[in-house]
Amino acid sequence: MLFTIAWRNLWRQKRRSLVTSMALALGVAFSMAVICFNDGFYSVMNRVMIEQRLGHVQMHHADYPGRRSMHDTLGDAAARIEALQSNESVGQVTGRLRGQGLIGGDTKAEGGEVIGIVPELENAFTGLSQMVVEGRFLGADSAQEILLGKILAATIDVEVGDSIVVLTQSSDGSMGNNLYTLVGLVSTGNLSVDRYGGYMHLADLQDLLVLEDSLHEITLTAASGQKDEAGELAAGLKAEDGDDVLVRTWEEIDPQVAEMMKMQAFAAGMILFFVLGAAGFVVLNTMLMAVYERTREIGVLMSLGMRPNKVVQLVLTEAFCLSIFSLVIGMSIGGLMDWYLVTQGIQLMEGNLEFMGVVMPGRLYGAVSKSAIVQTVVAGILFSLIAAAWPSWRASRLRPVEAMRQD
Amino acid sequence: MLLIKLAFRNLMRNRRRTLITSAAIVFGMALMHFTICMQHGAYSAMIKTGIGSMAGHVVVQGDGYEASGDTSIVVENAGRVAAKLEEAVSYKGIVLQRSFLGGLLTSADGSSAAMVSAVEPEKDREVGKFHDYLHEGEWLEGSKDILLGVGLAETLDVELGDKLVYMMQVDDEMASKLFRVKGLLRTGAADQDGVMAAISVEAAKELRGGADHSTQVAMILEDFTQWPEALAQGRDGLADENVEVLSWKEALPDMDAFIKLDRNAGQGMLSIMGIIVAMGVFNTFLMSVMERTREFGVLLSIGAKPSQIARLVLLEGVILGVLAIGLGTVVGSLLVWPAAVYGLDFTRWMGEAMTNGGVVMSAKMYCVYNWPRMLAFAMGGFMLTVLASVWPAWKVSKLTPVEAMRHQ
Repeated sequence: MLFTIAWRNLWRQKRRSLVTSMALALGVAFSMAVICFNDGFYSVMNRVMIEQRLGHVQMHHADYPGRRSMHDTLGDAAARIEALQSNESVGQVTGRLRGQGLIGGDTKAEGGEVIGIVPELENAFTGLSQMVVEGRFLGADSAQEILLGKILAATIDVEVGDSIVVLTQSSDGSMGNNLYTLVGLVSTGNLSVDRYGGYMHLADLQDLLVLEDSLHEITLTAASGQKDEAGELAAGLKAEDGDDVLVRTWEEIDPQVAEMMKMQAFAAGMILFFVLGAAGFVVLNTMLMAVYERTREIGVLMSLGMRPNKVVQLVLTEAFCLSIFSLVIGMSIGGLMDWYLVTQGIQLMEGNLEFMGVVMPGRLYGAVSKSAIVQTVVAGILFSLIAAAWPSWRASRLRPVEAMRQD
Repeated sequence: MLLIKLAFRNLMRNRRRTLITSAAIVFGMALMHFTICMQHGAYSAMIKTGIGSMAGHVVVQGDGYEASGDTSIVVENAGRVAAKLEEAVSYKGIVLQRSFLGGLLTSADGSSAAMVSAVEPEKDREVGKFHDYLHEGEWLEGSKDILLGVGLAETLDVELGDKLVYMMQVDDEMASKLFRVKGLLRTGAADQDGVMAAISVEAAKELRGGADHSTQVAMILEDFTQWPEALAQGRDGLADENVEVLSWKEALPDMDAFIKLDRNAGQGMLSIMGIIVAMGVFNTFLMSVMERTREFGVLLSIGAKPSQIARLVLLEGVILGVLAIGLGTVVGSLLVWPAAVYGLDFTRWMGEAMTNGGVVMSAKMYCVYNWPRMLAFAMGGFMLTVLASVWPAWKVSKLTPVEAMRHQ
């Protein structure tokens, strides 16, 4: 009943209601597109920072994080990884050994970092083989092969198939060097890897650094695949290991990234607040006009026995209907824009853009999540209702006699 | 004059409605000015940092360096080129040499790849950025001194006064040199602090076998706005050298691209808000015109011309625009003021600093007033407001007295 009256009231002033709902719909559609873009941006950040680099939980030697000294290793590497693989709360596991050195071709060399990996594990964890842009991925067994970041390879002027010299300080203090075959180039999106990094088989790097059966870090995901469960996973692993192993969640390892990730929700909130806030003013004005021009009518209704709180409800219901109508239109347009952003992406610039060490592709694709849609719907309805609160209160305060006397 | 008086009275007849409409405009304008000044502040800081650490307003590099990033391409006879540049440009500024080198630093306890910038200590102290980052210890003096990013020093496990060896490849040969840690640098951006190091240009030349080569010769002007003329003079003066002469924008393409992108994104958002607010204004005008249909009918029947009435409605739009936009500009400027003086601290969300488009940007940002842009956007807002009253005004001019008076 209330809905029917409210709906009819809205269309008594067709043009006004249409313009108002267009303003709101425009706000909704625009917010959706911007949030879709924002989420796309953060999904790249998430992929590079968390899926590739930090995982959910990492284990290090207790002294490693502060000093990053090559001597602070986790021993019994193979056994450790095996144990973690059979742990039920752990999803993916990968172990990494890091060696700093000069990486060179025939004529040029650049300082960089070689990461020793078990190719299968690293690939299952990060999908590294998909990031090979030239040549092929490392073979399963150690065969003196190396992968280099694409930018690094260009800097030192080498191509797939060339021999690469890695010169580094070994754990026994001597300078070690060895020759490797460049089998592929990777483009990971992590600028420090693409520009200064390389991958080789764990066993090869262990040989070079004279660090037998050792790792610098073990990176894990929770069995559920949810990064929110990192805390629980870390707590479980802490209980199993002694004090010499430091177990930390991705948030503890890199608080800056964690705060950055929180910005995702903050940015979406700001967009909704400002854009729908502007639309709220429009709704406020419309509802206020709607109430004032019907002063007499409301007076009649009240003198016939309509309670003030029913009047409030009526006005709020009108605003609610208006917001639903606007949401339907806005979300259809916004949905189309999202669809375009997700499937076609948007060309931001010619090359790539670096942001906090992450390479953003020049063509960025949007991402849609259920929570973003829900937020937009809730915000759209909420802002309309807030905007209608004051007009509805004014309407309920009318005195029947005076209201009816007004012309 | 009479028309203005009438228009003003009309606006005041429904004070609440006019106030709400104005509030929407003021809200939009204030937000707009704030965004503009915040962006301007951030960009100014970025440009200053970019120019102070790896470019200048005019940048001379070995031909092809910018496109390839090949560190073996250098400005040969950098001293001569610097002198020539200084002579060619008639504007006041400082000409300095820099080199950017990769390589490996090795201490007693470990080794790490590093991005080494070679600077002229005295000149860089004046106009460069590295001196601002000096966190501990002292500034560069001799060719044996090296400054390390705090993260890099941690990785190498060295302290002030410790020795380390720097190795790099020059023309197919390994070159190495012993340095002593003179100071620590700290930008606040962990990725930078973990790899950056600074040495003197002399040291870089020693590493390059004594040749007078530098990666770049840059000129930093006293007055930033003179760069286009300075660039043209530099290009003329160095036409016979085997070098490329670039503007700061060309020398910092990533930063320039970032700024453009960020500015466009902000502009897009503001435009959409502007349109939404304008729709509200349009609605208000339409209503205020419709409810006065009878009144306009009376005016028409006593001899007012349709064009006069249309002008009246337009004038109402103009008056509302001037007042609301004016007030919005005042409110916006006042809002910007504390953010310009005390700054906005985003440290909690972004860490102390981060790298955007290759340039370190502090998370503590200061708004900077950008009056030309603010004025341009205020004009845009005013036009939108007036535009919103055009259609209602046109509707009114089409009224016929009899029908209008019959209107309820």
